[in-house]
Amino acid sequence: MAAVPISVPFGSPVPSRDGARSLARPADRPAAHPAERPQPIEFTGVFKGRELTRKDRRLASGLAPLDSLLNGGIARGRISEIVGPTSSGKTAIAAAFAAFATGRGEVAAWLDLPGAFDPLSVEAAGADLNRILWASFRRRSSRIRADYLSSDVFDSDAAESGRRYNFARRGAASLWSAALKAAEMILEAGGFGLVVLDFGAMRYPLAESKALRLARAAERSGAAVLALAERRMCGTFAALTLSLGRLGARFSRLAPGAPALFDGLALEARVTRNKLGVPGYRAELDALADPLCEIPSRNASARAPSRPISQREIR
Amino acid sequence: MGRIACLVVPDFSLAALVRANPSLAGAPLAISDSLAPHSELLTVSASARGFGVRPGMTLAQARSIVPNLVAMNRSLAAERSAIGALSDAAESLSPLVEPAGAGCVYLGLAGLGRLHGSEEEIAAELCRRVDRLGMEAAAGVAANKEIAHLAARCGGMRVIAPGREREFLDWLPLDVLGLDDGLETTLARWGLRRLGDLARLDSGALGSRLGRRGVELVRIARGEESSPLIPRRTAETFIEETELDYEIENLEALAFVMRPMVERLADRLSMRGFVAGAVTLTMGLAGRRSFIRRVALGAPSIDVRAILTLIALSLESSPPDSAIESIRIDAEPHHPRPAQADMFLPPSPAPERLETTLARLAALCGPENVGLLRAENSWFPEAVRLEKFDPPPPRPDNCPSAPPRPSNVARLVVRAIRPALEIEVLCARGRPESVRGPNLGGRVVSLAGPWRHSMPAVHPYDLQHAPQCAPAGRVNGNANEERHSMPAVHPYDLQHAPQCAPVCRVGDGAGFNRDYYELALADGGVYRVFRALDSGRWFVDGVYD
Repeated sequence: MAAVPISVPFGSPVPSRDGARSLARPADRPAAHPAERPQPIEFTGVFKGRELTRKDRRLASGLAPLDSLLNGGIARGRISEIVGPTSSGKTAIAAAFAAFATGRGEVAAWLDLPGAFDPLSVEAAGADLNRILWASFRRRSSRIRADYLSSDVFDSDAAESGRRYNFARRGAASLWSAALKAAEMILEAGGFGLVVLDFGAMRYPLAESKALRLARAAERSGAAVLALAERRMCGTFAALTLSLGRLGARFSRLAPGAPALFDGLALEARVTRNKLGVPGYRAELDALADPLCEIPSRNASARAPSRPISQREIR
Repeated sequence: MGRIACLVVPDFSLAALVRANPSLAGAPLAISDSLAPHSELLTVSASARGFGVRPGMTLAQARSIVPNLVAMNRSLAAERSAIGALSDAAESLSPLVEPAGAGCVYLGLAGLGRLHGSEEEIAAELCRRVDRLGMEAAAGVAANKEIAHLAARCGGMRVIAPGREREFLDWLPLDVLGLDDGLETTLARWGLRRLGDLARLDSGALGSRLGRRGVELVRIARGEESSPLIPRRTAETFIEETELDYEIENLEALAFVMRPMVERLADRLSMRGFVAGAVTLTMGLAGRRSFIRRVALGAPSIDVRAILTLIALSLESSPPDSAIESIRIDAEPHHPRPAQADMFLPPSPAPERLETTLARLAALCGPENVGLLRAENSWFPEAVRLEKFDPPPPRPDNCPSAPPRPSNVARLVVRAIRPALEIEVLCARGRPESVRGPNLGGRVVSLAGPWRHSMPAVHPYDLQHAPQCAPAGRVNGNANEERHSMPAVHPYDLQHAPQCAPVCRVGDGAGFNRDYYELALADGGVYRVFRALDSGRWFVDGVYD
């Protein structure tokens, strides 16, 4: 079955598909982005508790479709999860939140379990690295590397190497413990607007007691806690779960016969859990990739081809 | 010269010991030159004196009267700390301070009335401040140093009003002068009991009998000033030291001992309006060695808990190698930074709390895993460097009143794989067809590239002698395979290789050639893959997410 070409260029809102409810319809949504509406005077740091979850006090991402979907952004003082498979845009969305927070002068923390933080691309996404505290938990000498791709290695041979599987679980638990302890330290210190917990490809959700502690620490501090993982990690203690999916990868050529260029990904975001609103809504947005090389003719207009190019045509 | 106050700490040696060991307060305590049963007691506390113990008794005699008598050696370290504390209390009230031996300090009270009220209130405030620092003091206020000293030696708080000095002095007994036994006996034999009796004598006649001491006694008894107040500004040093009765070999016990010392330092600093910028630990180790460690506080503070945490973390990372016999803590005084939070700016971490948190994170994760991670200025795309995390304070010009204009397009971020993982790539007609690797594999659905990143080899000689002469790269104009060669890399980048070295290691002066691809695999992921042209091996070093 041929791939359905996506005939909408980059940058324009994409209507919903499959009859699913979508908030990304310009005719149904207010014209003004929540961030563009006149903002009330903010007495930051004074309001706690339920005040933090108010729509006008949320942390926005700066992406219009996403902020419309989330009713202004993620709630402060709560845990929000972004889950999705490989190349679903989780890190891009987290970087967008970090960019918005640091752009406002807030300080953010990025707890990097898999050691996958790339400062070059996060800075290109608009984040101010001077305001992002990075912490990693990689153990060079440990056999258990919380790399992005390595966690399934032990599960695939679980029957034969059960001892190794148990060691994997113990190693992962120690990494989680360190990460959660670090998160609590940062939240207790106060003053952080956003704390990103990148769990990478961890396969095991947090224990309820640990998730509860994290949720309480988040509420006390008033910071927005964002958990990135391939599956839900915080259970019932997450106020929001945003599931990301990849609709397709976009490649293009500047001219016939020219090398193909990777333009980016088309993403789908669906609210699968929302304690502060209604779940089930979805939105589509695009994530642009930075080129690996400098091509003088490569500009915004050229990046959005006038004729849709299917993935099969690239080859 | 205005009125003068005198602060006297009675039994100063004992008071210094009690200050260093608050648990001894109220206990029958005595100081002797040694702890042998035949040693003589030098000083005895008030509670022991109440039981009948007197200075000059042997320790065995005293213990026969008070079995639970605590005998200790004199501690010069504790006395030095107490002298510093007494000066701090005095200087916190008046800039005109003259230290006068152990346990005594004079203050000039000129101009303090508007700040602290009457002289009685000033004397009471002085005693309160000394009490905060762990000692009990008596205060006297008079027209000159001698009368103020005598008033303080009477105990409590005593203010001698102007013109009533003779009235006060006349009734004072002679033992308030602290005369030696022989002179006191001589004066008693002559029928002299009070200072008034001395004041009525002819100074020349008494001087002919007792020498210069007799003339001085008459002058004191008459309340005549012998020397003015000479203010001596002491150096702003805040030192607490203690000698341990038993050696300490573990950090928990050390923390227990250091806590009251840091608390006393914090009290002294706050009384003088300072905060600690750094603390220097000087520990006497077994074998007459010393261990010195300076712990800088990222943000000057007098938060005891924060200071102790930083000290503990510093000592945990590299503890002393022997048991500890004595401890000395020097606090560097800094003026506190005026900081006022703005209600209209986003909150930021408090500097002292941030510093403590960073130290704790470094202890948890390792110092190489905490900080500000930034891309290195290098041709290696994976090169990063770690800097100290020190966020700039939010300022109105940093924080736009209007939020940034919303966008409909996000920026894709690369999840780095450090170090790059070697994979197997099957190619057809020079183009990748399928990929297989650790937890990665599948058919290549789409690809972009190759993009060549190369750096020619630089001879080590050129690195040292002619670093600017490294050869430049070349551009291949082949239309089918667009390649873009990077220009020569400055040798600086060779030396500052990325922390997570690439699998295709670049030695000193060695070049590298990589062809980068962006591969969309059938498993849905889009990976950044490169082929090292020198070895022909394939690696994946990033995932677009």
